[in-house]
Amino acid sequence: MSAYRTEARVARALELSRQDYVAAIRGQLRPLLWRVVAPWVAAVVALCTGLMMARLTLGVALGAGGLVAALVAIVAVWALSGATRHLDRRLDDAREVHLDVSEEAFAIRDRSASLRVAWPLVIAWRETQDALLVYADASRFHVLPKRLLSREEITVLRRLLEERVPPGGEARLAAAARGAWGPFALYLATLAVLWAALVEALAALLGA
Amino acid sequence: MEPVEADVEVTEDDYVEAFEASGQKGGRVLRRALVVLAVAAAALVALSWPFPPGAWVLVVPVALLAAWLAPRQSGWLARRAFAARPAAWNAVRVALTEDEVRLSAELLETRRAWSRVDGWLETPRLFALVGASTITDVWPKAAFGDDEARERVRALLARCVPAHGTGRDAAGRPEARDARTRRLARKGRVVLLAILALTLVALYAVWRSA
Repeated sequence: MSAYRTEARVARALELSRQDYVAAIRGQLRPLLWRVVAPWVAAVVALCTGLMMARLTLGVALGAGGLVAALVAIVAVWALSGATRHLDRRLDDAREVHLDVSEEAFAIRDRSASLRVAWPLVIAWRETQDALLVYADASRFHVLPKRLLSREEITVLRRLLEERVPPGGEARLAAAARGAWGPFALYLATLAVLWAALVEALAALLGA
Repeated sequence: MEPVEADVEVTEDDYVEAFEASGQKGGRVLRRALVVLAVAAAALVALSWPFPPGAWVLVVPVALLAAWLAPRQSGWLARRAFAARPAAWNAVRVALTEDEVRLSAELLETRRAWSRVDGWLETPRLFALVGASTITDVWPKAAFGDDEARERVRALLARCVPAHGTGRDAAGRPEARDARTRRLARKGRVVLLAILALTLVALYAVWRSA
């Protein structure tokens, strides 16, 4: 290993904004929502709408299906916003972050928590347009906004992450996401069916 | 006060037990709600027979599927969470003080102020911490030694962290709802769900007779 590599290190304080966190959270949740949750829920809503056509006129059935889809979407958005609500409770503590990344370990601390783990314990990392995200836990990540780092620091961090984080991180994250989001998709689908039954009954009762 | 320290080793079974305990409250309500829905769905079929097909025919299979999956969900989530975590996290030294919880092992070192912990719960075998609606730490009580040491841990957690599933009082201290209040709240939810289900049945009955 060259001397340059042995000495590779990024140690500095970062002043994160709420937007840094929110953008990262949304950026990670949206693909999961579209990949894991949306297909199942859309299929169930479509099936409900199709079945409603057997009883209701075409226009009313489509309207009822749209209403059910809207209600499910509202619940999904509310549930997903739980991450930002949680963030808002912790934001004061998490604004100022001290980062210390070296060849040996990834370390980060804020006002009320700190973490120092050797690289084999970092599960995965991702790079977005705005930030580097480091997963020391399958369901939580640390945000390192690029706007707060110099080009050289980003290069060093990227290289350390590429070389030190054990391979297979994306597969581990995908497996964890399926485990956590599968039941959520099922609940939304169940909700869609119950609402569809209710909306259908109401529409029929009103003579539609 | 001296820190309470222990060398903790966690197994998958411990995780499952902690997850089941954390989801017990919601799980019970959900199971009862599903029973109510299943009964309502059966009544609906009986009242509507012979019935034209519609979205409502999906209620029965979905209720049955959910009734089958609901009791298994905690175990499923726990095993996934346990598998996703590097093994080094399963054998750590825990140090609890009035201000924070510290975990350390050969490859890791973490510190969290109690304000970062959302709640704690206890089973006959375990203490567990909750953060962001999920179990974050599981500690078998046996690791803390004798009953006196366990009582110190219990007292410390009760002082510093809200009990899982309860709110805080005005002083920011745990506001433990008594058992009667919890029972009433549960019954209230079941009654509301039953009313919803019966309303559905009544709507169908009116619709069929019209």
